[in-house]
Amino acid sequence: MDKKRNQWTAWLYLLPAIVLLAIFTVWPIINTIRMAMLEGYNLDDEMGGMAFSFGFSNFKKVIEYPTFTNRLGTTMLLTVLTVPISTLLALVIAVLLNSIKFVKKIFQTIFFLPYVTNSIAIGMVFAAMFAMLNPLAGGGEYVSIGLMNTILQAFGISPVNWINLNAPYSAQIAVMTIYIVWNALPFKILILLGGLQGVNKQYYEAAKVDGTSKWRTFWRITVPMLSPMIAYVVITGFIGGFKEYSSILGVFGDSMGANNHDVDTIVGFIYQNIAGNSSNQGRASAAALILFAIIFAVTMVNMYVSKKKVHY
Amino acid sequence: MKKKFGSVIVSSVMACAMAASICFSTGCGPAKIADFEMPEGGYDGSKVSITFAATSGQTLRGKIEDALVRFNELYPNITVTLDTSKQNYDELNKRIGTQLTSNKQPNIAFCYSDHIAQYNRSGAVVALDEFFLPGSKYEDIKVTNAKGETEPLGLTLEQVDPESETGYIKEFFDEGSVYEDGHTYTLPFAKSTEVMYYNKTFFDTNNLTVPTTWDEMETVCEQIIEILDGDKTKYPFYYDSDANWFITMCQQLGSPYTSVETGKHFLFDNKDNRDFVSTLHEWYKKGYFLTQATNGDEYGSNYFKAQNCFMSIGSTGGAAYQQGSGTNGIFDFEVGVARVPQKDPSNSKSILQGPSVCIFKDNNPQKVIASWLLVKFLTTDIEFQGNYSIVSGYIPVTKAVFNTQAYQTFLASNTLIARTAAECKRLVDEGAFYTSPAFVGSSKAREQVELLMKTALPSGDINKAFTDALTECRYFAGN
Amino acid sequence: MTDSINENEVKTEQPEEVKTPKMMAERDVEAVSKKQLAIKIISQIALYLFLTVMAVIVLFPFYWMLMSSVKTKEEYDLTVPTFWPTMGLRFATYIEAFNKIDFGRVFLNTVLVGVVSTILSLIITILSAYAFARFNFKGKNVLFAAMLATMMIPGELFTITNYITVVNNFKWADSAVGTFSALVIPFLVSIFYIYLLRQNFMQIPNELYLAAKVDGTSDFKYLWKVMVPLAAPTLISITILKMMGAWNTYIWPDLILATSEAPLELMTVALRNAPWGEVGAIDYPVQMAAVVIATVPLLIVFLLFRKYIIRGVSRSGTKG
Repeated sequence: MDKKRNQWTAWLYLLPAIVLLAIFTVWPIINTIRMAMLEGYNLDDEMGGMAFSFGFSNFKKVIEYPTFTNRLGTTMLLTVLTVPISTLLALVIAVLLNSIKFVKKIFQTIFFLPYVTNSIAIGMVFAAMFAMLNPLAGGGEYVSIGLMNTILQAFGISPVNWINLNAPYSAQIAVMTIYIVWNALPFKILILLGGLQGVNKQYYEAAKVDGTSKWRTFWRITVPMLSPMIAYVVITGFIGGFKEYSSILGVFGDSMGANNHDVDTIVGFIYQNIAGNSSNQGRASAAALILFAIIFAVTMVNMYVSKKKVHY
Repeated sequence: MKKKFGSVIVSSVMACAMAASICFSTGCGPAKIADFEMPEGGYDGSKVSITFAATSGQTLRGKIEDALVRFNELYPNITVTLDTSKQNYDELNKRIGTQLTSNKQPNIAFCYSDHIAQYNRSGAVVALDEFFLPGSKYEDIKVTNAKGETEPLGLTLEQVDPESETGYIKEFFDEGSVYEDGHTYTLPFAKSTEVMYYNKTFFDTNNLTVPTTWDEMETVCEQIIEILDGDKTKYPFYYDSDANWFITMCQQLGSPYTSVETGKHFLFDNKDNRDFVSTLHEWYKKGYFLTQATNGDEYGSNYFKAQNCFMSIGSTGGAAYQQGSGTNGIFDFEVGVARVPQKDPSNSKSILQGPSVCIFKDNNPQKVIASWLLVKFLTTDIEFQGNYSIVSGYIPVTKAVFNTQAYQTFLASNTLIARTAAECKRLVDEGAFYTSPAFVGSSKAREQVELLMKTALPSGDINKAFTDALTECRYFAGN
Repeated sequence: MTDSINENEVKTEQPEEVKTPKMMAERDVEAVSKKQLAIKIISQIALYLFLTVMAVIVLFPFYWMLMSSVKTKEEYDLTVPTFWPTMGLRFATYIEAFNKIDFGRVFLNTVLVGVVSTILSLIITILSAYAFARFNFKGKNVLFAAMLATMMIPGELFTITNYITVVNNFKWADSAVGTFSALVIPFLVSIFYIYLLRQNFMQIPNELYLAAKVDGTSDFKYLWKVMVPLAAPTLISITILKMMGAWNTYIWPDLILATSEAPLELMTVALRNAPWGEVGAIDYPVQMAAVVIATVPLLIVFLLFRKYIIRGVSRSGTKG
């Protein structure tokens, strides 16, 4: 009897979320599926009274896109690079911030400041750092090699064309990786530091009494105790990584790469189809669903792994 | 557990399907757009409020507001809300695209023909033909304003006659009908084009002649390179818009770019065009020029002002930014204005840019007519057109403006903006302006020729650049 | 800058050295303790250097924003950017920014929308996370998985559908109250936050719940009296993120506000749509000054919150 009542209370707690999700999330998803299933669907055409036949050609068209595999590859590469790097860095910083004694407050404040920095400023500073400026007549050389190259030169590394015309793919990926990690860092530090507050101090005191080394304490106590938050950061990081778009736009603008959509992603393709003179929302929807299938599969793997490792 | 999981999925899918079918049968989808039918007698003088979405900056907004005051003296019952929160055409276009789904679009909006091609897919734009064609449906409809004056609702024959000395400039007016169905959907609001700004001081000192053809341009570039004597930080010229350059070259050479005909939209991949891109690649290698796309989207005016280039081809709207620093009217160097080099100077071709205005359909036909009255007023009012163009360097859209005292005084002032305007006036007199057809995919063509220039000019891989551009256009817009 | 990077490289050798003293410990305890002290000092220095370098990197955009806001237009437009203003400081940018945007009104609107949506969002998040963390009900795992799955569909296409729902079907753009609802309601539920809080709730030991049950505490009371205080750090994180969101969203409020006549202009919309001038003539330092002005209230709120984040909440309740 009590169990049955329990059932209803749970749903009651969930009611507001479910109602709002149904209207503002589930319904748009249903609409996305509908648009993907209508051949050559376009919103303007639909408003103009055009009827579309049911079919799967949108999916076929998306996969047939000449650079579809490149975009999928870039999307995956960026995700695989940025999620582990940013998580590890954030973890180290969060733990250090939690463990230091001297000027602790000042440091903790500093690492939260990026939160209130407007994203416009972040994009601009990045272009300023990596851009080489004013190519010399005839091309190939530059008036200024830019800040990042000047720093690297001090270490004996020769200048690299990072984001300007003709920049190699690897250099662009490197810049995007740094940019995305940089962007993600404050959020992850915030979450992990929040998680660290939740770790019972007594574990550490016990470890101290036992004379356990810091390294051991980190792996045996901090990481397991923090594992739910780490799992959270990794799983949502993967989901966000596959949907990467705005950071590339921030660095490269509409060309989505130094040359011609070099480091464009699947979501970039969705944006190309979503609005404007030659929009095709059917194709955009199909691409969204294909990407969903990929993210879903990856998340399942993540969940499976985290179920085994996460300690609640 | 497995069985439960399956049943939950099945039931949720069914719930979704039901929700969807209920929703679509009861009209959850986008709004339907009402067709425009001219009511008997035209404007009935009723109180209406209309919105006008423009992209004008603060100064130009002020000019429109001034004109609205005078418009309201004639039609006090028409309240106009001027929305200039977007100063970027593409962002405005995106916003209107979404607003159309719920019938919340503005009544009048700044637009380019590519945008109209999109809005027309839903039939959202009012065709204006009946407002000016001789013998048209609305020909006999008259309106009486608050001053008791009666005027025809539509345009007069004089206003649309290309031969008239006071009417719309022919090429500007014709831009309103660059669509497959041939109907007119827009009126010109304020127009601009590209010209070449050159460093007159530099040209004079070095005894150089301002090039009028591309052949002469090549000679001048050679000479400047010689003068620069190995200084690789400076360039002979800078062309801002790669896409405009490509399209203008097509016009000048008479080679195809795009066509309005379905199935034959994308014609830019041809031998003539490959040849000129190949030539420009040679020039690029020799360090004759830079463009915006090949140089990190930077404007040529920055190079020009710093005397790092000596000719800067850019929009007439940017005239003010081409002048170097100086005090009390004395500048680092003198700026000259010439037209963009041509293939055949006796038959000049200059791109037509700048905003047009369109009117959207509305459930209340009185709003459409009120919008028409405002559009007609703003595009034909001599005082407004004069004020708007004098502060901005835009070209007025009716010839009557050129003959006003105010405009003549402006031209005689000899400022850089005035000299730019004078060059534009000569292009108007020669009928040099061209427009490109607009259709579903026309903006893709423009975007792709820009990328084509960006990749082919430095690399010289012309075949790949053309093939890629054409593939992309066909993928996104059929043929 | 260069020096600190060099120092940092030295630091990477530390972990190996940590092992050596342990083996030597048997031979000479006194020497070891000295050595350990030295290592401790070196590792502390390395640690602070690492944090300093990371802090500089992370803070750079913040510095860039402040510095750009006082540059002259000429200096800002230079093709090779300067890293500190060399052509004189221009504080007049701030006055100009105030002339372009009615910060007081925009600020009040943004706070109103931000606070209401944050409070409602927190309530919904807490209730949902609690249901997932504490209750066992039929279809729980499937529902949770389905909710997570909704995060995985790129939501770019949702904007148009939601616009049609809100404006065309609900007619929310036709009134001021409706417009306010349109700005707040569609984004109240965030699976990201529900998931985050659920993770946190699940860390709280079951013993507490059972003890509360024995005491006769109701579920609802237990949630507010025990769970919520214990999850305070996470809730504060969510509050910060949600407030930041209110300060930074643009596309949706721009669409809604362009469609409605209600005077509810929000901060980002005001920042982006102010009359900055035409392309090529924009005075970016003034724009940056406006961004800084918009940031200051956030900074103050944040500094107030910081105290709570760092202090955390006493864990005395979780003994055992």
